[in-house]
Amino acid sequence: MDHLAERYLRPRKIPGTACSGCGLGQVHKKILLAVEQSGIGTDDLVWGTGIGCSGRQTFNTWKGDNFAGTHGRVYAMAVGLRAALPEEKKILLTVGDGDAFGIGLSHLLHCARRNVGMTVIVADNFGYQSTGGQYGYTTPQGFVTDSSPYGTHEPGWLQGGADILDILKSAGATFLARYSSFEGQKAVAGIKKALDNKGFSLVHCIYPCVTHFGAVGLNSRDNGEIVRWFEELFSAKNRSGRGPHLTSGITHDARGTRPEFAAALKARTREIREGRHVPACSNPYLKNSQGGAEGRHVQA
Amino acid sequence: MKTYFDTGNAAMVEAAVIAGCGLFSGYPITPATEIAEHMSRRLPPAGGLYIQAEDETAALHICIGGALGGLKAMTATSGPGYVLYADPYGWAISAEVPLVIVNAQRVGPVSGITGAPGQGEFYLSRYPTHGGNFETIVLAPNSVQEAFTMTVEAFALAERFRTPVTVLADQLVTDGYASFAVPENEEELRALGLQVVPRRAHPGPDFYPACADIDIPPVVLGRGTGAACSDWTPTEEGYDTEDTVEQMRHARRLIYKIRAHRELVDRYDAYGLENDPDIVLVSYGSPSRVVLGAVKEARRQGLSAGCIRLQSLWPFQDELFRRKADYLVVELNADGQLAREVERAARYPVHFMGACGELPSTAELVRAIRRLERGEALPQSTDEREIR
Amino acid sequence: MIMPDGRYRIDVDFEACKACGYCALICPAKIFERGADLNKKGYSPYRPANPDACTGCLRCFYMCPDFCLEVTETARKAKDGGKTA
Repeated sequence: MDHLAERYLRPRKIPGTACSGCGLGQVHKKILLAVEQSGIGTDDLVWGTGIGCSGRQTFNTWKGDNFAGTHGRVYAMAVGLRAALPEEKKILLTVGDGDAFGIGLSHLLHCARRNVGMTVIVADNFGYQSTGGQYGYTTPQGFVTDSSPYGTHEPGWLQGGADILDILKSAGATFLARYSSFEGQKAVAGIKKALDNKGFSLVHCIYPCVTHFGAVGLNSRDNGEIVRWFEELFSAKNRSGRGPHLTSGITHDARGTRPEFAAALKARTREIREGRHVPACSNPYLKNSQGGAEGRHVQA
Repeated sequence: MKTYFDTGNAAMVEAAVIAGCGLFSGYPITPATEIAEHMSRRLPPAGGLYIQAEDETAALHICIGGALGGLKAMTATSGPGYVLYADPYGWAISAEVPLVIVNAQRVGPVSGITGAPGQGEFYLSRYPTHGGNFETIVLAPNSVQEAFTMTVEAFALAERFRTPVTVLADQLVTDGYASFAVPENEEELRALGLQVVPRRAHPGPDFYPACADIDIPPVVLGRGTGAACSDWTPTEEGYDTEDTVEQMRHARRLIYKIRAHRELVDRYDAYGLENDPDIVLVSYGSPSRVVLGAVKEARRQGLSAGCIRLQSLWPFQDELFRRKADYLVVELNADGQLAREVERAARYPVHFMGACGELPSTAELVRAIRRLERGEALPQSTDEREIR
Repeated sequence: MIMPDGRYRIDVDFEACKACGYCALICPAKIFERGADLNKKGYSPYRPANPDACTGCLRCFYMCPDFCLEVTETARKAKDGGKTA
């Protein structure tokens, strides 16, 4: 084990059960480097996970506190947890592309809308790989997978003019970035900024699945060939016409421009409790500023 | 005590405030919307957080998140939302998260009739999620006052058993107005037979004990204990496992922590059973109010009748149906859910009277009792519901 | 420019390595080669066959997905305590 695993990860879970050549560990490592460089301790951060390869492989690896949500719902759980935890505790979620951009997209967008303080790392392996390699919403168009034997027929979130990060930006996210799992300090620096954000951050990390996407979509079992194909997605020279053209780096940095959801909610609740809250408009149903029981009940 | 005149919805909210509810998350749905509205007004002055969710699935997940962070949490919905709770409900059962869930039942299936009372989620409240391997706790109020007391009790049971508790009400209980008493201090709370169990936090990284014990503090995140909880089959430490032996141990804990402490959950009310009546009417929720009046009237007319009203539905109280009698189950549905369960538990004939969204009249019930005493069968189709 | 001067120590955790070969693929100095012995998982892990050629670029470290590769600066104490050079 390297020093990161020794310092931050549970020996029982590392080395994990990921396939040889799975790039998820590269993403995992970048998060830990960002944690290390930010001086975050195991007590300072609660780590949540989604479902699928990206979620289950990272669940309970963190030496601090851990939770795993059901398919696509960990974002909603994190909203409640954010409201309950002190502001200084960080929430980090590692999830997959199916979890974030498929089944959980509604909750994810609502988290961005509310600017809920959490860092979501979407570790994207271009489809549903833990169930055996079905296409997802970032699977390159036309690619053969186990559920698209004639090639995918639906548009995705990364091609044809769409970019899921644009949608998240419009929804209100305050920090967005995209990297490949092969990148070094540049990706670590991006994740550090994501963790530094008090509001909603999302970092989209593309990583290779060699077992399903590589073997079926790229028709290769050669790790080198697969890695080169993924690297090309981020290269300006990539005009093979296969796969999306991606740019690595921070795509949106609006840290500090919007109030964080839970902090604002708690401040407002405190104001109401202490009778200091001034409503934006009057409410005929609230007879006193405390909103107490007598505000509506008819005393018998 | 303070006495208010308001709806069951409002009574549940006052109960939640007294029980120390720190977070409410819900989604508007008739006839439970008023609970959310009252919460949005009443919780903040009491220091509690109100979060309106993007859908019911999110609502219960937000509650789970709040509970994992150390807050007592509650949500409220009706049938179409209750079925969307299936996903987080299972999470909370398996990860042993204390929560209070109100279902103001309306008429189904699906959206059905929004503004009439129903009792279609009797079985769904026993199996509110997939997969089996668990027991559930469900309480069923029949009045505004009970909507209050049972909500306080639900919070206490949830904490003690580390599990979600459903308060299975119906539209008449939640929308209906009545006077209800609210205790103003500890002594008055005890006088109503109630207690408030404070939220505690499990001190260690271990997740659950492989035993049927209760009163074990729930896992709380963010306290630096190294806790872990998930939807996976857990080891005692909280690691995810595919081990069938571990799963069996976990399942037995989820089942027997409740079955071994039934005395804390079981609740019922009975009338006229002392001289072994020939006919025993069985009901819960709103129908029980008419049933009680009908039994009194039947007895006045010289008929041999009594009644049992279930105040807790699950675990089911089989023992109540060991008495020799003809059982007449009265429900707000046409398929006979409680009737089916009584049929399973009783060794004697079980009859059923049910309708969608409409309570039977006292006269109808008395006629049915008379008919059963004569040994005649009851017509079962709704067309023939009028007993001639 | 950092010259290769044997200042870096490369450790590969024999039991943790899954022999994906990313270290060998990415290393500009061609330091890694696949070993012959099998570990308990049944992989034949990579090993640093030519560590003296290391320039400390850390590309292998960033690339290793199984937390089983460490590059340590040995000759001079690094700013972060000598962990990652």
